[in-house]
Amino acid sequence: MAKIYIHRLFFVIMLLLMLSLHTTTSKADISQFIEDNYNSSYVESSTPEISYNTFDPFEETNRKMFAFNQAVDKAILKPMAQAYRDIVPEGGRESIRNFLRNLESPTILFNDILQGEEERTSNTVKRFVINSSVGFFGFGDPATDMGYPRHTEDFAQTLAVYGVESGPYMVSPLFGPSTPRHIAGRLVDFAVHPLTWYLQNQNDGYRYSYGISEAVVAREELLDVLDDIEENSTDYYVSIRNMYMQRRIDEISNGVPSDEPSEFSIDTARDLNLVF
Amino acid sequence: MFQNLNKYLVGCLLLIIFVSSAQSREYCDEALTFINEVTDETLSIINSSEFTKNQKKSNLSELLNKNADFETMGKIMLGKYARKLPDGMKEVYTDLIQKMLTKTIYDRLDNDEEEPDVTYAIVNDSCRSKGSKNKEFLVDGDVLKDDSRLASIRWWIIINKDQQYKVIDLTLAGVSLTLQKKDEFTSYLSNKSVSQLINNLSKKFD
Repeated sequence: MAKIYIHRLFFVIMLLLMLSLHTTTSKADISQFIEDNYNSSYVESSTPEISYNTFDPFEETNRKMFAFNQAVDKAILKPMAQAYRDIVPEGGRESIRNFLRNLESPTILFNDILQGEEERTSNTVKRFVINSSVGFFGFGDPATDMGYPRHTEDFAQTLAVYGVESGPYMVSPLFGPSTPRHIAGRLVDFAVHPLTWYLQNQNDGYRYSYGISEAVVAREELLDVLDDIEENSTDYYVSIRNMYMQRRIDEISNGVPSDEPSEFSIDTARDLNLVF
Repeated sequence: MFQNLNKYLVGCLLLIIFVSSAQSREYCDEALTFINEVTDETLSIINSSEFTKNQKKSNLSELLNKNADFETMGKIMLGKYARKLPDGMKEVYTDLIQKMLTKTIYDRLDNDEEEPDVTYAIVNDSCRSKGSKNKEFLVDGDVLKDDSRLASIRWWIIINKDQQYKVIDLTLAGVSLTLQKKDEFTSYLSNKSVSQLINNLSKKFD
């Protein structure tokens, strides 16, 4: 008899436990969903809301800086990039791109090591050796064909790996989209790069040529993409901010798709009768 | 008697768990097959040397029409503002979303025509369900450019009311198209109305 009661009690407890767990999970899902997608509020807000997945408290200043950068871009950088594209054929541009990317190898290696990425460290070393020799000082990229594809790393990504928060979104003069963590990362990458120290002893012409060529080559690569984004967006500033934030998350996770930010479920929205 | 009941209940519970997991796997297999078919068709359009630009655009638009759920995408992009969309404007809005996304995707692909010898491939290799009803899936894969990994790709798909698989988001190299537009629209609608947004979209894409 006692045994039967114990069994019955066991089932009642199990049933209650399952029900309570189910309820807890659903509530957690729902509140997370609301938090992520509806800014914790269904009520009309009189204050401008913070955009999804970005934290931009200096938006007003950032927009001014963005406009300044765009003016500089339209007046100087974009025409230079366009002229470069018109003059140098695709093959030549690719070689120059490869050469400049090969020069980034010390920065990538430094950060691969700091992040404890053994495989990536080995990949960067092999790429540098192969491309600098077989690839003729880095103008070619035979390493990719040999199974050592390019990846990027920078000190801001290293900081992110160690848990340093990005801080608010900022638009830096000339450098564009950024965050305090990214700015700090750029400074460290600049300081530890051997080329920085080498160019210290060279004349100004070398220093400026390197900086300008990097900017023009990078801008040329983005000519069509940025034109398309500007043409197809309702707010170019927000588009660029969102793409920057999403791309940085992707770079930090080494291109492995993360569950954020798109990890919310239509099911939940339908259940709550919110928008569907 | 209760002992038999216990066994019966435990059996039922295990059966439910087994059936639900098998069902989830089955749906995921179907989702993966669906996405593989969509990518094959997309690549056959992009890599084709027979089609003119306009033919490519028209074929791509047709493919998207068939396989994407623009209505749901449009609602995700509006977020909480979706409830402010007047009934009479829903069709107009969905139509504009369709035009906007087709143009955005086509423009992105069109830029790569400068490299005619390049071949793209997409390998979708994993799928998992999300949500609680086995009706949403995330399919992950890689975009290959001449056999080298170019970027990650993630498809967010749903099974709609007509039991058809439909794409509701495409994340390329970490950038989700739907969420990028959602961010834009949220910012726009924080100080403007839905009608103004529709007018703006109409000027750009109609």
